[in-house]
Amino acid sequence: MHRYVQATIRRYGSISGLKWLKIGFHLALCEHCREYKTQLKTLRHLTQSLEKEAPDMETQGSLKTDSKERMKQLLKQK
Amino acid sequence: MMGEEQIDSDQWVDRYGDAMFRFTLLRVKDENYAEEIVQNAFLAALKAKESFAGKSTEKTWLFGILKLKIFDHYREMKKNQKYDFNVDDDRDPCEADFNGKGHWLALPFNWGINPEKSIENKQLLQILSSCMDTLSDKLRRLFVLREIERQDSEMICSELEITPNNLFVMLHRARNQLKKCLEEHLPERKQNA
Repeated sequence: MHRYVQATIRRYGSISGLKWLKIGFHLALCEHCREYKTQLKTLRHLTQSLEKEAPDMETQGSLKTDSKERMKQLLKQK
Repeated sequence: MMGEEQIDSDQWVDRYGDAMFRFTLLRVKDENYAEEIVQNAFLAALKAKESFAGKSTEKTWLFGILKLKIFDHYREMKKNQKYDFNVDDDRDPCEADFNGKGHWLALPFNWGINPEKSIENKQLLQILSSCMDTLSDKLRRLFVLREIERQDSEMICSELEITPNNLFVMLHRARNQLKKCLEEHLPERKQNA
């Protein structure tokens, strides 16, 4: 059942009500499965946050100076 | 007109170039492609300058065009590259966490992080970004489409010509690979090691 639950959690939203009931019941009893689910929840929150923050994170890199100059020139020429 | 945004193409590169580059890099990984896409977005914006209605900010308008260019890139990649979405590739790193009867071998490592509060941790975001670079191109692409672009499964399956089951398996592996990678690089874990 544990392996089944772990594999099934990936299919959020596409599982029938009865299966969810079984999984919900199992999750309530299985500490391992709960921990796994929390980790996935953290991953989801982080991913959504990264999507919002990435443009402002300088550590994510930046355009090279010569590339910027080339783009400026191109925009001027057009 | 009062209250309407003006655009100034001479300032685009300095004002938005870096942010647009980072936005793109998160989605396409390759720096050269990212640069090319940003440049194409600027040129497309310049062409469409007259149609700017001023109802959104200049920045929102430019990022909207950039998104379209990123999708053009995905389509181009799909045309030129034949991705074989074979579920046997990219193994699930969590396979070893179970015994033959499907029971957990050990309790998953407790991250000690509140999911809702995790987003305040910039270091974690940085780690996740580096971990995403370790995914194979196809897993990364699927993960970005589903989790970052939030495209629905049906659209992804039809665009990439894969079955829903194939998609779920690959996304599951992508998440597990990211989860393991995060786990290995968690600052808390390093301190305890």
